[in-house]
Amino acid sequence: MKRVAILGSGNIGCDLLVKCQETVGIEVVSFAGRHANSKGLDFAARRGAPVTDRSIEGILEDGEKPDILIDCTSAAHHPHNYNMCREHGIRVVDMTPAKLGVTCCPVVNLDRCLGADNINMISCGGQASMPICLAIQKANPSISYIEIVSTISSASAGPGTRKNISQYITSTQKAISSMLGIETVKVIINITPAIPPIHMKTSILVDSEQIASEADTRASIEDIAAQTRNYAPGYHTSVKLRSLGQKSMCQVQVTGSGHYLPPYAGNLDIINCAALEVIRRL
Amino acid sequence: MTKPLFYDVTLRDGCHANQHSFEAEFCSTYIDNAYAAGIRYLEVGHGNGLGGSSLHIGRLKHPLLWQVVAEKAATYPDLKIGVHVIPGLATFEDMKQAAEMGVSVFRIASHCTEADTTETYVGYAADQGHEVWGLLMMAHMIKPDHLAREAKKIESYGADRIVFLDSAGALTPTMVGRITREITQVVEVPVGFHAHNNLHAAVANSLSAISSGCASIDACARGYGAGAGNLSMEALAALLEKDEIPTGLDLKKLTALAALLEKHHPSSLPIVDSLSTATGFHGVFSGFKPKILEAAACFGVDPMDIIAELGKAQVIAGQEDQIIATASELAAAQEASS
Repeated sequence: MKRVAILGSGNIGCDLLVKCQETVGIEVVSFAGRHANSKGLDFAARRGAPVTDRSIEGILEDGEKPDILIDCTSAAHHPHNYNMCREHGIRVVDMTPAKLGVTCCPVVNLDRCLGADNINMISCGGQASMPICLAIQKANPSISYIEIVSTISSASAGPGTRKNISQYITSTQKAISSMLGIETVKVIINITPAIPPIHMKTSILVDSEQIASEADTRASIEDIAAQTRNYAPGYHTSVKLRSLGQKSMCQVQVTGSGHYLPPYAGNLDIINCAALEVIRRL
Repeated sequence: MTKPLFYDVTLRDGCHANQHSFEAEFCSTYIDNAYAAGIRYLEVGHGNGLGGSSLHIGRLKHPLLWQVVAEKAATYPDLKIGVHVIPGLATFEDMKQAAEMGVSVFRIASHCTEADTTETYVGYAADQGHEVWGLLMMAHMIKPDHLAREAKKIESYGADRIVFLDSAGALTPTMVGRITREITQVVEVPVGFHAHNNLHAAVANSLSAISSGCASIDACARGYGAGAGNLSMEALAALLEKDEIPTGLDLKKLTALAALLEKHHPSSLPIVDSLSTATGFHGVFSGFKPKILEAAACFGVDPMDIIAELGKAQVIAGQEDQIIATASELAAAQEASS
């Protein structure tokens, strides 16, 4: 049995709690926030998880320490949390964009991350686009430019997302570029208030001249999308790769599992699904 | 009516008309002539602003434009050169580079309901001592009081001015007047308006904005901008002159500026056609026009159907990929029913 602690009682933390509790072999031994009576702590308590309102300190004062801590706080708080875990020999799965650990997208490099003491989950856009980027690259190894346009619903974009757009773009670009060795990656994000809320959509655009065979690339995309569905069941191509002159485009739609968050919040679901896959394999 | 400030967006919004292909030499001549005509605020760059150059929206063909900006900023110390900044496309790094080239006005823009996405961008530009304007795009999509609340948010982040954009050319003069009054009631800073001509109402809407209390007007020489075009700068200046409202602009030179544009870009001069009427009516972003035509041709579907679907789905500026997705769905539906 893997003993997991969840730090941070927001949407991400609550959704991960449900995912962990529903997974055989994982036990949530602590759920920590900062404010007593917060909506998240109340939710966790009702689900039978041991809760504390004293953050990382509350988790560590417990006699039996967790094997793994999932940090769902913020990039600013992560260094402190990581240091505390290191002192106690606890491995960290980092949901913040702090990037102190090894960056991980399960379908791309999970095996190579399993030895690390800090595994960073990049960003929601990173988790949604990386599989397709990998698929396109497998079929076209010399690809040097790739563009990612994610559109998420206003309802699924919390205050943290809205305050960190510039950092999100820069860090997602860097992560994809360095993990896949693609020279230039451009990331764009739209937040739309359309009602009903749209399910997360991510479009990937490349120069048509860099696609050797559209048929082979499409097959590669379907193959990797199927592998991704092994841990993120709502991951589907919504537009097949197609050339429109200079550019070629395909699109995936990510529907959430509907655990704690509504199905349209595929952006939050996919990063949590990826984290759960990491924990399962650790 | 008071003397409105003219903010010239030709070299930015015009990029939508010519697929982002202004040449540096033309920009240089344009800026000299605009300055001579009395323009003191002028915007440059990709149609969607900093970071807009992409396969998704279109690549800027001549990025050397920035050398022209640096040159003109040095030549005309009282000319303010601005850029359009959409959080989601642009980064702080893009803003830093623009400032180094002499850009001194940052117009931070969000979809009308998402003002809080501008907070850190407004703060970043304001902290560096730049003039910051807050822009609310696709203003037709929400009620005036909601728009005013969003305007108040951007003001609270530190914006020096609020501009509401009729990005789809979907507003009427009555609506523009109502919005102007709602916003000016709640914000202390000056308010501006940005028109598009999809329903032939750019001039009427801008006059309504000025008479209701807007202090600045976005305009283009020859209305050279996205879709059916923007407000024609020279037409508004001529109307104001007839009504003896001072503009500080030289009408003869403004007309010559429009002629300069006509001479250099004869094949992409905006016109109001059936397609723009449809985009205006359905409230679809003006800049989508060339992409709607491209997708319609590629998938063999009617552009009017694409426009109606995009309107129904409340697609916003920046969702160019949804034009392709919609065309692809329409083509699949066509195939299934035949």
